[in-house]
Amino acid sequence: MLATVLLVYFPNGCALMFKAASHNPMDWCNSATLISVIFLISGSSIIFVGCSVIQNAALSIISKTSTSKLNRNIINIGVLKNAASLIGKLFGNLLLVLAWLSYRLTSVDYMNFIAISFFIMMTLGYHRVKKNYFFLSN
Amino acid sequence: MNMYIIVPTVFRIEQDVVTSLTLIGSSIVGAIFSLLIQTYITSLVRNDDVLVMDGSIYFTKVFLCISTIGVLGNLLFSYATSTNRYLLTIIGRFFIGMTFCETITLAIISSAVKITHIAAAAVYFKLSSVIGLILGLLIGSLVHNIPFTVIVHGIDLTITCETIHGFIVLGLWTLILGSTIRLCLLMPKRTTKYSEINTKPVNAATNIDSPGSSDSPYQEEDNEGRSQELTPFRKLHKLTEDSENLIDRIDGHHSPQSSSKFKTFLSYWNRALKISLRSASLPISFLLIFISSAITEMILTSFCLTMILHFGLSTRLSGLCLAALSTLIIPSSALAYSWTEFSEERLLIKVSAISAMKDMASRIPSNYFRFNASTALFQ
Repeated sequence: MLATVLLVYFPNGCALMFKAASHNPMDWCNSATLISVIFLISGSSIIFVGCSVIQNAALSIISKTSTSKLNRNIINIGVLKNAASLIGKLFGNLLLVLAWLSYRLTSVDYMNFIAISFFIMMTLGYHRVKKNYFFLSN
Repeated sequence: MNMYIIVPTVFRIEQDVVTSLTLIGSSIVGAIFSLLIQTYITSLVRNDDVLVMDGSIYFTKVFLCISTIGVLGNLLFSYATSTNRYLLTIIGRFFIGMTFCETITLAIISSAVKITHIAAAAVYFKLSSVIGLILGLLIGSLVHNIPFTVIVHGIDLTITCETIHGFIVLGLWTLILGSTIRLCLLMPKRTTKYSEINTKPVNAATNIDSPGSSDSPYQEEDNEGRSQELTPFRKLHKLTEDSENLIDRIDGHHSPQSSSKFKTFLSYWNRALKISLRSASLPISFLLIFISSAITEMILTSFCLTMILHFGLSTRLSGLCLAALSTLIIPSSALAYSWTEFSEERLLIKVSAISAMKDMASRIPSNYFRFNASTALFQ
C-alpha cells in the first residue's frame, strides 16, 4: 500500500506543487453531496477517536514507566508531555499552512496532502510501537 | 475554551485562509512560550530557595499574571478584529495563547490535594478542559449569526456578531481576574523555605542509603510508624531509583548548580531530556503524543475549513458538527481507561492506530482516483 502510494501519488503530487494554482473543476464544492459530507464526518470521527485513545494510552504508559528522578526535577514528565503536545499542535498547524500554500484552492489535493501526512505519521508511529513495545507484553 | 473559540468563525472573519491559520497557530506559539516562562520562573524560585507553598502565594501570583494577560489579549484581539488590524490580532492571539496554564494547574493540584485524591482531581481537571473546548466551539458557532451591533465612538470599538465571542471570553477572564485578586487579598502570608519542604522527600528517597532508618531496604514505614514490606511494584520502583542514583554517582552528575540562572534553567531541561532518553519507552510515548496531537489539531482546524469553504455549509452547522466531534474525547478517554484496567496499552495503541490508518488509507485512493477522473475529464 505504502509502495503504491509512493510510486503513484508522489509524482503527481510533486508535479502539482509546482503547477500554477487554479480552481480544479472537480473540487468538492462542485460535487458536494450528502454522502461526501457523511464520509468526511465519519472518517474524521474515526481518526479523532483513534488519536484520542492513542494519547490516553501513551499517557498511561508514561505514568507507568516514568522514573521518580524525572518527577522530582523541575522539568518533570508533565512539562515534557505538554511540550510534546504543543509542539505537535504547532506542527499540525504548520502542515495545514504548507498544504494550503502548496495547493491553494484545489481541495482534492489539499485533502490528499492531509491524508498522506496522516498516513506517513501513523505508519511511523505504528512501526515504532511494534518495534519498541514488545517488552510490555508478559 | 479561549484557544478554540475562534475556530468555527475564523474562516469567515478573515477570508484569507493562511491568515486564519496564522491566527490559530499564533496562540499555540504563545502557549509554548508560556510553558517555557512558567518553567523558567519555577526554576528561579527553586534556585532562590524560596518556595511559598502553604499560602500558595506563588501560584496565586502566577494566576494573577495569567488572568491579566488573558484580559489584555482578548481586549486586544476583539479591538483589532473590529478595526481590521491584522498584526494586532496576531499579538492578541499570542497573548491568549500565553494563558495556557495546564502545567501550573497540575502543580497546584499535586501540592494542594491529598495524595489519595490527586488522580481524581487530575481527571476532573482534564474533564473540565475538554468541556471548555466543547463550550468554546459551541459558543463560537452559536453566537456567530446573532444580529448584534454596538458602536462605541469614544474608543473606536465596534461589537458585531463576528467579534462578540472575543468580548464574551473577555468578560469571563475579567471574572477570573477579580476572583484571583480577591483570593490574593484573603490569602495568609506565610513563607516556607524550599529546602525545608524538600527535606522529607529527599530523606525518603535516599532511605536505602541511611542504615538506621529501616531494617530492610524493602521496608517502609506506614502512617502509624510501623514498618511493613514493600509491594512488588514498589520494590521494582525502588530498585530502578537506586540504579539511577548509582549511574549518577558513576557519571558524576549532581543536581544542577550553576552561577547563571539561565544556565540553571537549561541544565534542568538537559537533565530531564537525559533521564527521558535512558529508556526507549518515554521518547516513544512522547512521539505518540506528538503525532496524535498534530493529527487532532489538523482535524479540528481543517474540519470547519472543509465544511465551510468546500461543502458550502453554514458556519453554525459546521461549528456544531465540530463540537459534536470534540465530545468524542470523553467516551474515547473512558474507553482507554477501562481498557487499560484489564489489558495492555500496547494492544490498545495497535487497534487505534490500525483503525485510524484504515480510514486514512481509504481516503487516499478515493481522492487519488477523483483527481485522475478530474484531470481526464477536463484536460
